[in-house]
Amino acid sequence: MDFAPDETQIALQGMAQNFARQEILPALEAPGWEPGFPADLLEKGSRLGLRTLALPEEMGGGGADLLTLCFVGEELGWGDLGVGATFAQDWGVAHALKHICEPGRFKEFADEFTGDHLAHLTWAEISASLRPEDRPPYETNFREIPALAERAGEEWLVSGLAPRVMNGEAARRILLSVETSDDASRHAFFIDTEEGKKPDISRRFDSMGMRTCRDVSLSFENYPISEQRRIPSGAEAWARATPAFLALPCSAALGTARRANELATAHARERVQGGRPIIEHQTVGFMLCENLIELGASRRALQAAAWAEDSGEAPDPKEIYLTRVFASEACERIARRSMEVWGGAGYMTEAPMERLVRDMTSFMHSGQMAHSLRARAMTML
Amino acid sequence: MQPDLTPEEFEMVGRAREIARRDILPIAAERDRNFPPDRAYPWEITDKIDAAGLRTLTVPKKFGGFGARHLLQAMITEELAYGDLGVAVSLDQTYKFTRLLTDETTEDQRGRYLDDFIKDPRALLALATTEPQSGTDTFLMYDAPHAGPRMTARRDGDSYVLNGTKHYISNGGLAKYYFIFARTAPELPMSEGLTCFLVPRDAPGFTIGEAHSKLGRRLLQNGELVLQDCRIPAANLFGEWNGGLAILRRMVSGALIPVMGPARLAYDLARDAAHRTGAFSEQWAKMALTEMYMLIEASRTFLYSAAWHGDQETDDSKRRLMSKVFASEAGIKVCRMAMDVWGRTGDVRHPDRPTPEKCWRDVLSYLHGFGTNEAVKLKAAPLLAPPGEEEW
Repeated sequence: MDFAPDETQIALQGMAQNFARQEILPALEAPGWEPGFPADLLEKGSRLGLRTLALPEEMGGGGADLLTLCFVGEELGWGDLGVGATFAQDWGVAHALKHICEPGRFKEFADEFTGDHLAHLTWAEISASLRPEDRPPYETNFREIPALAERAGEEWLVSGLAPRVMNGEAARRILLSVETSDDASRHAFFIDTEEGKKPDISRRFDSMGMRTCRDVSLSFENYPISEQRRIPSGAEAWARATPAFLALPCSAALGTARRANELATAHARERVQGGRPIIEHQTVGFMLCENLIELGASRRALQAAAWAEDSGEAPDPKEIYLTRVFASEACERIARRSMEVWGGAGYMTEAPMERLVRDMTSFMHSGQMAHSLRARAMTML
Repeated sequence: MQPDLTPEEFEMVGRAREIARRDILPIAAERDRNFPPDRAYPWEITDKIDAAGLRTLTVPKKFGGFGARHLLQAMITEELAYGDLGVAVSLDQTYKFTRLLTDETTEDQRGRYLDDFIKDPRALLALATTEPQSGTDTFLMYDAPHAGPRMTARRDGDSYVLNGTKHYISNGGLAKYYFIFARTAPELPMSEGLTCFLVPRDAPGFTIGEAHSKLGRRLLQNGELVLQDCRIPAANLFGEWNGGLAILRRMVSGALIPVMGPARLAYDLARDAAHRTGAFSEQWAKMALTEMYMLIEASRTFLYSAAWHGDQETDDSKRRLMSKVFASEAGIKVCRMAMDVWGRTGDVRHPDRPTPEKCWRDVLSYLHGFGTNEAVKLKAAPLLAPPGEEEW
């Protein structure tokens, strides 16, 4: 295994880092910026080719493999976790389509969104039965919708609840996987929310962090989808797409943790207490060392998972699940530790540190939750 | 652990619990979310706290207060913090510094300020050491000329004139009276050139600058104190001239943080949610709740034990320091686990109901509040028994 970036990867990394430094940070850390979906910023990124980076070059994309996307995702997440995760969703869906569609269909779908700079993608899963974590504790009248996908002439009628869809409000295409309640078979659809009926938003997530994403719950009740938008593939194909869904947003989280650590290190060099910079005190120096240990280990784990997928090896799903658990939990610890290095200043909203901590913590709830991934992995031991 | 309390003490704890649940908790979420930092503090709650005899909890009985011991103080603030940590800290600060006002002031100062403090239902207290250039320096009492507060004070006739800025001060902008530390011999280290002054809120030249906007604990105002030629009577010298470090040493030698209030609330929210959503049928959620309970109980036991020792003359404060570190780490972990039990909505804010994410944001303040945890460990280390001596 060799994870050293090649020339192309270095160039893409540099482009993403420039975008983060010159566009993302100035926009999101400007005084008076109101948290929300940054459409203008994302459009600029799309014009640089970021949105379609995972599509093959012959389809107008960047042809990046998963390892390359991990490099780029980390740089974008360095700028903002929500922005990085938004592009990571685009890449994950493109990667999944490549695996679960036959080539002609893949191209037809890609043609729909390559030219539209605001056509972001997301994916959503309807499970046959809701997990406890999917039920909001305060809603006493929470209504569960049995998962169903049934043929009705030239279209399909889909029912069920997608409990938390990252960027579900802003995305213009949704790759929807439905596990039916009756026979537990799995169907996949590529929904066009511009042309077709919009799914009902049953909840908007007013999260403390990642506020550049618009996470929502989507309700489907006899929701019509044309046969043309069905992707005839089963559970196996969906599982094949999973590594990208889990690893790519996590690479953005790694970027956020890296930035927190960089800010902590810079502060520790500058701040003098006890007659010397605090980086020279073991109390602080050890924390920064711990950050580097966890950053390095997380990055290597994610890159190994991406490399395995790129090299055509059938990836072990439990390793992907557990890599995501390890890296995301490590990134959360890094952010919190970095805030501690900043002392009281890290807790104030005028400084960037507290936002990074909020973003990282929301990340743990926005995608797959750690206990849920552990529960899946343990069945594969 | 349920410490032995007198019936009167038990009643005071009950009053605090009632106010927290009836008055504070229902308003905390909205204020946390929607109110600007300089208007988030609920003064009407202070009125109720005062009416219940809780504002003057640590005023000795001979002056008309309850004369609470450290143990009761810790239990009361924990109860208030169940409603909101910020409100509890505003009282906790006042409780701690009441002891300065009652025990270490001159008769003249007591006559001018203690009576007013007792009578004014909204009088709170604050102590100010932290400045932009010095935080841990001061906390660890790094005794070098260039370390510690930069604010200066000089004698001018019958007055002292103070110049400089403090920041992040708890109750900054809320308190009526401030204990402010300034350099009276700037060329000397703190041990030889630091002095404490009693500064009323309305002293000429004293203004409140920025009310800091924070990640959590947002009902408490942490303010910037700007002193520009701030003039106070010479009689407001507090303690000895150039003797500030001794006062500071007593004040930062031990805290009894009310962090278990929000941790208990987070636990309650998680337990209820687990039963409502069905998570309690899963082993991971059962293990999480059990661990949360263990952490809370261990922390409370440590805090109460430290408080009990704090009431003994032989106490050296190391337990109070260590319990701060232990309980803050435990509190953060408990609240984070509660967010996980809440599942996909664990990081979601609610317009007007308590959430584990608010508890978590609030308790994170104790990573740095009352000294960073690493600094507190360093402060406690010299208090460990020397080699060969029995520690317990």
